[in-house]
Amino acid sequence: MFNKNLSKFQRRSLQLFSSSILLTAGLTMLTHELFRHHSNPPTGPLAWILAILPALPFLGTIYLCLRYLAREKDEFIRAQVLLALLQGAFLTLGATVVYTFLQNYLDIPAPPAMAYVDLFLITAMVALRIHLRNSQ
Amino acid sequence: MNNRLRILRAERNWSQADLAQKLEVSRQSVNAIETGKYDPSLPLAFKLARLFSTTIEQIFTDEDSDSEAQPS
Repeated sequence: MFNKNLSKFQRRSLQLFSSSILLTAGLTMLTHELFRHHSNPPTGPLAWILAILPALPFLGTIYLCLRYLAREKDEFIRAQVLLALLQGAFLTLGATVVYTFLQNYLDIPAPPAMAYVDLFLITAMVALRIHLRNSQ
Repeated sequence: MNNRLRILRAERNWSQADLAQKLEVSRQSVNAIETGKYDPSLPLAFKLARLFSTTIEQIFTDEDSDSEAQPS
C-alpha cells in the first residue's frame, strides 16, 4: 500500500507493524475459538494466560509505533503519521461514545473483541493514505 | 509562508527527488514545502539554506512581510 518511495527504515517498520497486527488478529481468533467454540474451554491459570495473549502483540504494536515516531528522521512524514494517528483516535473515540450510548439504552450487542482497535487502525491507515496522496 | 524553493531547484536543474535525496527526506516532503502545505523546521530550513548557499530569508518569506513590501 505504501511501499513506493519508502526508506529502508520505513519499510522495516511497516513490516514489523504488519506482522504484529497479523499476530494480534491470529491470536484473537485462536483464543475466541478456544473459549467460545471448544468443548473443553481452558480454565484456571491457563485461561488467564490465554485470555491476555492477544493483547501482548498489540502492546508490541504500540511500542513499535512509538519507536517509529521517535526514530523517523523525515519530519514531514512524521507529522503526517502523527496527524493520521490522532484522526484515527478521535474517530474511534467518537464511534465508541456513540455505540456506548446506544448500548446503554437499546438492546444491541456488545461489539466484538478488538473491534475498536480494528476501527482505529483502519481509520488511521486510511487517513495516512489520504495525507500522503495529497502530498504527491 | 512563501518560498522560492521551486525556482532555486529549477536553476540547478534538480528534480524534487534529487533535492529530497540531498536533504535526506522524502520527495513528498519537498513537494509539501514547495507548495506551501508544510513549513519546515529550523534545522531543515538551515539545511536548505546551506544546500543553496544562501540564507533562510532568501528562500522563505513571511506572507505579512510580502504584503508590507508591496505598496497598495
